[in-house]
Amino acid sequence: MPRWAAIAAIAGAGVFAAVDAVLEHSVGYPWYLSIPDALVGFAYITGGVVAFRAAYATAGVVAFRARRLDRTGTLMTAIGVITNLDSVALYVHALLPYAAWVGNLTVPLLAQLLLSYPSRVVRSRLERAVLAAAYLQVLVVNGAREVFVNLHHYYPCPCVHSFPTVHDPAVFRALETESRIAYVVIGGAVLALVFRRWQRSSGPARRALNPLWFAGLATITALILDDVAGFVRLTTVQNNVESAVVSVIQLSVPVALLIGLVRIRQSRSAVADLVLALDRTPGPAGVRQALASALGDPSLTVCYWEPENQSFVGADGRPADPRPPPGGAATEVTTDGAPLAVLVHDSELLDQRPLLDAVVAAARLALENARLQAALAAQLEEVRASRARIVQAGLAQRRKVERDLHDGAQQRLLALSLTIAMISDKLAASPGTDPDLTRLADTACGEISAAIGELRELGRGLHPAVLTNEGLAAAVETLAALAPLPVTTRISPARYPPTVEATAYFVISEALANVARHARASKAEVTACGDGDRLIVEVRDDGIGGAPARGGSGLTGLADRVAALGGRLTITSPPGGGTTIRAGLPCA
Amino acid sequence: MVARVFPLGRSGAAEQTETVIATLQARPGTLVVVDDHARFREAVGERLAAAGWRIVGEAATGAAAIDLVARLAPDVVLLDVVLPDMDGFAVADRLAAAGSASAVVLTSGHERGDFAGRLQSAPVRGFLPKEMISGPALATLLAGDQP
Repeated sequence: MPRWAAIAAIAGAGVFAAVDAVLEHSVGYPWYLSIPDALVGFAYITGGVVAFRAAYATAGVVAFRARRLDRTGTLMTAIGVITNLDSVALYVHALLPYAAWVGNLTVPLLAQLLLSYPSRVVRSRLERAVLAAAYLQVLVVNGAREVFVNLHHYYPCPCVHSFPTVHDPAVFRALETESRIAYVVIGGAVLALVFRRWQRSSGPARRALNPLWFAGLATITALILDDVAGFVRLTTVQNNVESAVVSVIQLSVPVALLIGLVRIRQSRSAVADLVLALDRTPGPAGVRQALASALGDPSLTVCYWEPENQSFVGADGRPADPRPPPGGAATEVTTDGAPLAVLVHDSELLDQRPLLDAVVAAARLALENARLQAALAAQLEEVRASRARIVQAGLAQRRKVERDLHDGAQQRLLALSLTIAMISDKLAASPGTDPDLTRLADTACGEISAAIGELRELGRGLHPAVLTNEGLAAAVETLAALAPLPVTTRISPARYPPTVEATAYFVISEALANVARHARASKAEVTACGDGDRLIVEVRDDGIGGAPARGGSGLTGLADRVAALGGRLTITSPPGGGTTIRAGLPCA
Repeated sequence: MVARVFPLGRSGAAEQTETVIATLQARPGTLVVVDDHARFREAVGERLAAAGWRIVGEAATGAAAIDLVARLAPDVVLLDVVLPDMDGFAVADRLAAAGSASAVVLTSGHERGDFAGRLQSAPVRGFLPKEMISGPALATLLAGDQP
């Protein structure tokens, strides 16, 4: 149906509805009703007719404008127009038989609307057959029925119309009975088919379509009951009440359609919001956040494919597992046929395939960028981790060498020193010993003592035993005692991981050595205390300052070691203002 | 300063309980040497035996030391700090807890300063760096002075 035609039909329906409502109020509807009945009818007119027609017309226009639902909009508008037709016919009597003829098209139209929503076409063969039967019944059998009716039987008015008539009440009644039975049978079949469709849908799709389907089921049920009521003789009042109830139930269809449209619009605007969010917060974390909120799944995670390692990484560059947990599902995103990323999300999202596809399409470019960033982060993370491992391995190696020296060569030298001391003692004790021999033994004794001392210093430089045995506080006390200037210390007595203690110790040791060498300071102060999950080490002197920002080569090496542990070493040294070296070491 | 060093009758009739004035050297008694380095135990044994000490036992681990000291009840235990199974401080604690009357002297290739804090509170008579082990040094330490 061309768009202009649909718009014209909708506009026509709207004009009819307005004119109808005004006339009904001013002239009285229908004019042959008695007064009390008219009061009941008033509720029907105001509550039902006006709202009903306006609602169908509005829903039709709105649905038509939502592009994918133009078929639904056309059907909705058609229902509105056709239900208006009998009201129009009350004023334009020539239309009465035509209105009676096509007026029943409401049911097949409504059935088609329900069976084709939201996919535009009715695919099932059974559904098509039932629809065809419904249209056939209305257009052919109802048309024939009107041929045999005496309009004055229904409407005591002077009717002039062009509809061909035969006026055979017997044939009319037979066809009328057939119509009613067909109405119930076809209506029942549609009811069953709609119920089947509802049953086969699942999850969010079912939730999105629920309003329309329930409204459709209720309306068709009401129309069938309305028809069955035609077999029973009702009083005018009962008849009006029944009509009003049916009208109100029929109102639920356009309302439900509008609700469904709002839901669809919401998912559309979710994609629009996503595009804006991706623009505002780029980067892997921003992409994840934007996708999670667009899809309404806060648990959503994104795993990026890293072609270099043939593995998945998370936004932070760490290895990630793209397998969904129980109740989850994974959606693969590809770019030019190659894997790009996997979205791990709630499995219910699979029922919202169009939304998922739209979101993925909108986010693909951002995902590609995020993948590059994640790959970079992965490499950085790898470098960071390997740097930390190298430093830790270095420290462990030093500890091991120190232990090996102590347990091996040093023990032998110590034993040897005792033996030589004994020789020396014995020589001294025995009378008449060659004095040269005594002197040589004493020399050997002194040499061995010196060797032991040097070995001990070497071990201390590699890894001070006091640090392992007593912790940082005692180790720094030893350093302070050896320093050539007064050093005050304030060291937390807590123990920290060996790597942290060793790094802190070497920072303090190197800093104190620099103070002694360059600072021309009169005193220094060393502090080390925990700050959250960090150990803050500070060495401050009152010397001449002006130390280069990156320190000497010794401090540069230390800064690298501190950085390797994820910490930071800073040097503050204004000329004439002393020097402060500060290192923050993460202890986790 | 006065110290009681040798309990009555442990080392034979000739040795009575005696008071030793710090300036005098304590008379050697029985000794257990604990060190995981066999060659070092040997050297220490020779040196202290030459000074008159009677080496009644040797142990290479903390567990063996605790067992040995309980059986032999030596006058002195010369105990290395670094042992393969537990450190010398732990051994000293266990001995003290078991009510041992033996005097414990810790020794190590490390310096005294390397154990500063723990030496203060440990139930030991003193600390002797390994290269300084000798009869006179041990006697002086037992008499109450750090060498």
